[in-house]
Amino acid sequence: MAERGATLKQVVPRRRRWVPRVGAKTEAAAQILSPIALLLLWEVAARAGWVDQRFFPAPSAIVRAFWDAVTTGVLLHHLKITLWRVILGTLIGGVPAVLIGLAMGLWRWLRLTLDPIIAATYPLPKSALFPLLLLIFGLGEGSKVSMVAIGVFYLAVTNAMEGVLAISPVYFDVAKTFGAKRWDVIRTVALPGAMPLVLAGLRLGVGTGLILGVLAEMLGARDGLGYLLWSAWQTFSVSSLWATLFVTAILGFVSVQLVDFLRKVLVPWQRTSGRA
Amino acid sequence: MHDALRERGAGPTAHRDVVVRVTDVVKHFQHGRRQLRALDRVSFELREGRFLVIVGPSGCGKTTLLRILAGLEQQDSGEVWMRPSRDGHPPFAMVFQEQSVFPWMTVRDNVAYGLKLRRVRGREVEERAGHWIRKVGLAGFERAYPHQLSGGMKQRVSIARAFAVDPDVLLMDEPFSALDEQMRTILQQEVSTLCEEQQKTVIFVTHSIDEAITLGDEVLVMTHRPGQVKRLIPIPFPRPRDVVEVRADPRYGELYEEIWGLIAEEVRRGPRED
Repeated sequence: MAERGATLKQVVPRRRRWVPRVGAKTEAAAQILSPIALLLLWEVAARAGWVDQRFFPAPSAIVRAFWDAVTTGVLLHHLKITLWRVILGTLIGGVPAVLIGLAMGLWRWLRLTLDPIIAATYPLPKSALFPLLLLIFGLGEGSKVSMVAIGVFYLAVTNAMEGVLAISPVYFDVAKTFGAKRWDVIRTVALPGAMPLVLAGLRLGVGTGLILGVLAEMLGARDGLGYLLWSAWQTFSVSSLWATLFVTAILGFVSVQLVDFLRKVLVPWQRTSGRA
Repeated sequence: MHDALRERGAGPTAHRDVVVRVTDVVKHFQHGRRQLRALDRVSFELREGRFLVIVGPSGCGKTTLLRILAGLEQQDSGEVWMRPSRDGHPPFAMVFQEQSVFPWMTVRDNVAYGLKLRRVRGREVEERAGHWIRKVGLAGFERAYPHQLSGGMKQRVSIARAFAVDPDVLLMDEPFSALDEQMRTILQQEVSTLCEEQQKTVIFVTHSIDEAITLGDEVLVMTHRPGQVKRLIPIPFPRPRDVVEVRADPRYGELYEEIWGLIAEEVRRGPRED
C-alpha cells in the first residue's frame, strides 16, 4: 500500500468499514501463520530462558524427540494401536447408536421406553465407568474399545433421535399426500432429513471417544498413545511427552476431518456458508 | 390411506361431472380441557375444471378443511368424497404454504418425487420432470439444491412437483403467502394459466380477497370459528385471465367490497364459543 510516491489520499482506505474487508487468501494465510508465529515465540522464549525448559522445552527439542520416536517406530506402533481402538470403538458404539436413535425418533413408543434409560445414565461421567469395564473385560482390548464405544454411543444416539424429531412436519405431510407408504416415508424423509444431526452427533462422539480412549490407556494399558503419555510423565521425558501430545492432537484433528468429509458426501445439500 | 375418499356413492341427484363433494363435515380440536369446534357442517360441491377459492378470517378452519380433503386429518363427522383416479393413486396433489420443498433433494428429484413413488418408469420420470421444470421456468436449475434458490423459485418447484403427477384435483394452501407482492402476482398468473391449460379442478385456500377474485371461478367465504359456509360467490370473469387486467374491471371493485363486507362482519363478531 505505502509504495513510493503513494499520496496520503491513496493510503487512507476509500471505504470506512467497521469490519475490514479481508480476502479469502488473507484469511487462509492468517490461519496458517498464527500457529507458526506462536511456535516461533515459544522457541525464542525457551532459548532465552523466559520459560522453564523442563516443562516447556523448545519446539526444536520436541521435534527432535518426535523424530526419534518416529524413526524408532515407537510412536507409530502406539499410534496404530490407539487408532485401531478408536475406529473399532466408533463402529461398535456408533452404528447401533445411529440405528437406535433413528428408530427412537420414528417410533414414539420406543422413544418413551428407551429415553428414560438414556437420560438417567447420560449425566454419569463416562470415565467413572472404567473400573467397572476393567472388571468386566479385564486388561485386554475390550476395556479400552468399550470405553471409546460408550463415549461415541451417547452423543450419536441422542443426536440421531433429535435428527428425526427436528424434521419439519410439513415434509411428512408432503410424502403422505403423494401416497408414500411407511417405508417410503422413512427412506425419502426421515433418513435424509436426520442426516445432518446424525453426522453432528458422530463428530462430537468421535471426539469424546478419543478422550475416553486415551484416558483408559493411561489408566489400564500397556500400549497406545495414552500409555505413552503416562510413561513419559513417569520417566520425566518431557520432550517425548510433548511429541506424543502433538500426535494425539493430530489424531483428534484427522478423525474430525474424516467425519466432516463423510458429511460432505452424505449431506451435499447442506448450506456450508458460515463455516470455514 | 384415503378410505374416507373412496367411493361413498354419489347421490342420485349428483351431477355427473362433480369431482369433489363435501357433506356436513364437522371437526373439533382439543384445546386444553375444552373442545373447540373448528368446522361446523361444511358442505359444497365442485365440478370438474372449476377453480374454487376459500377465504375467511384467520382461524376459520379453511386450512383444516383442506387438510381433511388431503387425508392429513380426519373429520369427526360428515363425508368427504373425491372422484377416484383411474390408476388407484391419490386423485389430488397438494401445494403447501410453507417451504415444503425437500432440502435434501435437487430440483429435479423434488419434481420427480411423486412420479417415483408411483413407480413410473425411469425414462418417463425424466421426461415428465424435465417437462415441468421447463414449464415453471426452472430450466438449468435441475441439479440445484433448494437452499440455492429464492423463495419464488422454491414455490415453483413445489408447483411443478404437484403438476408432474397429473392430478385431477389440486389442493393449494396459501401457496403464495410468503412471497413478495411482485413474485406473488407473477406466480398467480402462471398458476392461473397452467390450471386453465391443464383443465385442473382446484381448491385454493387464501386469506387474500384480491387473490380470491383474480384466481377463482367461485369464492367460498367462511364464517369465523366454528367455520361454516357463509356464502358462495360466483366470479363472472372468463378464463383464461390476465390477473392484472381483472383488477381493472369495475366488477372487481364491487366483488371486493361484497367479500370484504362479509369477512369484516365475521372478524368483528369474532369466534363463537360453543
